[in-house]
Amino acid sequence: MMARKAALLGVVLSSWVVSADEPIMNMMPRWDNGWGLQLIDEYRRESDLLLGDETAYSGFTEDVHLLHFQGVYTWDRSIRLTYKLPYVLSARREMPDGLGGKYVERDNGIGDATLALPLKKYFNLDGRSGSWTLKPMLRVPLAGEDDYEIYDNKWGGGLGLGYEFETHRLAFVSSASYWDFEGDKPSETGFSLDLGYKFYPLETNSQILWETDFLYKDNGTETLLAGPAFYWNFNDTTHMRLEWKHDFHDRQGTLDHGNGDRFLLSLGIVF
Amino acid sequence: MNLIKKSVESWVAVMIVATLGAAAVSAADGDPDAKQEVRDAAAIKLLKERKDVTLMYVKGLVCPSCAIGIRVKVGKLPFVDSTRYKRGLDMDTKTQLLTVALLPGFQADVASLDKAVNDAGYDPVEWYSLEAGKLKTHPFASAKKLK
Repeated sequence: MMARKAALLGVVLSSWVVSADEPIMNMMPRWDNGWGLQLIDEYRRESDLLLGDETAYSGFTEDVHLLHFQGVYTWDRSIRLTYKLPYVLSARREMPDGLGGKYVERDNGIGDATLALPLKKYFNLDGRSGSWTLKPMLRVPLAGEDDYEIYDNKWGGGLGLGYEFETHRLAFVSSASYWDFEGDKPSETGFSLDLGYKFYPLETNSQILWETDFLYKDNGTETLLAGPAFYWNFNDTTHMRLEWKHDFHDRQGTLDHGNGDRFLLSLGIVF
Repeated sequence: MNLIKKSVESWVAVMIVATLGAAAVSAADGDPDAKQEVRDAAAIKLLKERKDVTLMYVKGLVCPSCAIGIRVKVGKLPFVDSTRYKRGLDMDTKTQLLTVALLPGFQADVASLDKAVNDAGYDPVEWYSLEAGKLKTHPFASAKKLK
């Protein structure tokens, strides 16, 4: 009982998996003085409370509904600036009350912003085009205080590396990132691998992808999530993307929710 | 039962990633349609079929999304006829050939085309003309510098 209480006190309040993708749709704009805006509607549901590899409390759920406001400006093909600002529309989680029951905690409001400066080295070859990326990142604390925190209101610094290429039919995107935060928030290491197949119905551009992300926190938390995504452009300006990811492996270093799914609908415009 | 379900899920995920990864690696050398002889034959065919155009080879032009930047930059050049094709441009992402529609009576400004394609994030290599039915290639200045 004491150990369980200690675990509850040491709970890491956010099990947020930071997506490695950048606006717009991780693709554009590549041209000089290009810019774009992207809105992402995200819904996430976690099914259980985990501690280590074990389900500590089965059926203790967490539901999170977020909007992400994102933007990008490209000076030329080698340098761009991006921002990501999340807004928690609603977050609700069930926690054990110590008497065999549950109590509910909630969060809403603005989250912590992320600024990034992707530096890219593009290569254009016969039938293949791609880039190497080095990406310094900064987390800016903007979140308020609630029953619990989806975003921790802490400064953070990160560095990302990426390699990607595409052909007429295939797309390959890989990246790795490391984040360190102020205070006792654990550092995060992430890897992602996206594989896509492109097709062109009715003179439009579409892509189906299988995306895999792995996140490790230095408190022992490990999450492997993967799932399909679908990209479609209405026209040169407007782009859409649907995504579903499932937790295939979830281990929580401290008591936290896991075993979940997340769904994203993205709409982007680019000029 | 839960362990079996998790194991099956993980196995399926690993197999999908491995299959798609192998496909991507095998495609890393590019599309066979992008070979020089295939491109030359396609260029001759296009130049015979199309009038008032400039035809060029742009390295890296492998997807319609790539074309957005090309349309943004090349489409605004004063000699481009934006009423033809898609905002004045048509591209074959297999051969990476870009057709630029020209306004009647206008000539393409090759230096402007070179700069616009570079600004779009791609590398223009050469433009083509037909002389006595034979294909003649004209390298862009930026491609000469790269060599």
